[in-house]
Amino acid sequence: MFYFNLGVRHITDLEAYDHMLFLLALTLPFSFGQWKATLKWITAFTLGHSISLALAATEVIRIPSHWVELGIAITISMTVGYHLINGFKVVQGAIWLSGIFGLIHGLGFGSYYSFITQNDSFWWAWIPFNLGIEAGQVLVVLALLFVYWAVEKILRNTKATKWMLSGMILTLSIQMILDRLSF
Amino acid sequence: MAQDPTVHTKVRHEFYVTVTDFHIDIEKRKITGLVKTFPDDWERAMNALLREKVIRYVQLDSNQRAALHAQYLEQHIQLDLNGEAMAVEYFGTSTGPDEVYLLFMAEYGDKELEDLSGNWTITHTLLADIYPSQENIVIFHYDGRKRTNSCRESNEYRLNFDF
Repeated sequence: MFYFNLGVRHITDLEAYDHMLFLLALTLPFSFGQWKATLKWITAFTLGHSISLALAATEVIRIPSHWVELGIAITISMTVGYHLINGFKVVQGAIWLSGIFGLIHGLGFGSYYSFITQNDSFWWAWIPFNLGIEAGQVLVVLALLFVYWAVEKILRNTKATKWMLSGMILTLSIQMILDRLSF
Repeated sequence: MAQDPTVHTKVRHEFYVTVTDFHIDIEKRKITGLVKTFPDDWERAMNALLREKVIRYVQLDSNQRAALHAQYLEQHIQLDLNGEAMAVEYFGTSTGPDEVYLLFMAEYGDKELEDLSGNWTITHTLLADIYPSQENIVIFHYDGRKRTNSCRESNEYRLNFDF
């Protein structure tokens, strides 16, 4: 249970807000009624994340952390850009993008995961840790979808809200890219 | 992560965490402990201890470093069983490429293994004085069983394990 909780906390931790920002970007085209499709996208992300986390933690893949951090910031901008280009429509088949971006994000957790686990706990902790990440993401995404639903009911203009959110996420992610370029 | 120009070790990491193993060594009648931490975090904590003196951690010889390690570690890790405190004693340091290992022990005297069951309280504030988001993961091994939890600001860096 400890590693499950740790996974949940890593997603919901406001100090590591880049992950939260990515989830916000990813869910931009979805509405509350599309929660099943949203969860599929999130699960694709978790699968990619789990695989690359294991590869990075076992040092099968070694990418300097500053490149990974830069990559994570770029995926946030790209996700927003993708949704803007498609007019916030859910493009069928684009779920693979979520999986690929998950691969990049998972690399960022590799060194943390290998530091906190030991040889005997590496693999048995891997499943609950990743399940915790999935659970944390589901919680965050359902909360976001609920907010979109409430906004739609109150303002009756989700498009304007999504444009505004896109602008905010894009600004923050570009700032992140610039910060991370100065390593 | 912002780099501190006064810190010489440059292991880049985005999180502040230590991992500490507690084992009961029945033959030696001791609790042995091993803390794994990042070299730059450790160096920063040691420099903070030296704040009043005109010297940096990297300038110290091995004996001076050991004395400083002992002072800091013994102040920041406390162990008690059923309300009875056990004195934690620093034992040594080992340095890996990306981590520092600190060894310590606590003697439990003439108690038998069954006397060591009950409520263990671990207070582990290592590096929490330096980093507000510091998390100290504790793995406690007792008679073939293992419990894991973490000391954080939210639980005032204190854990209870019942065996």
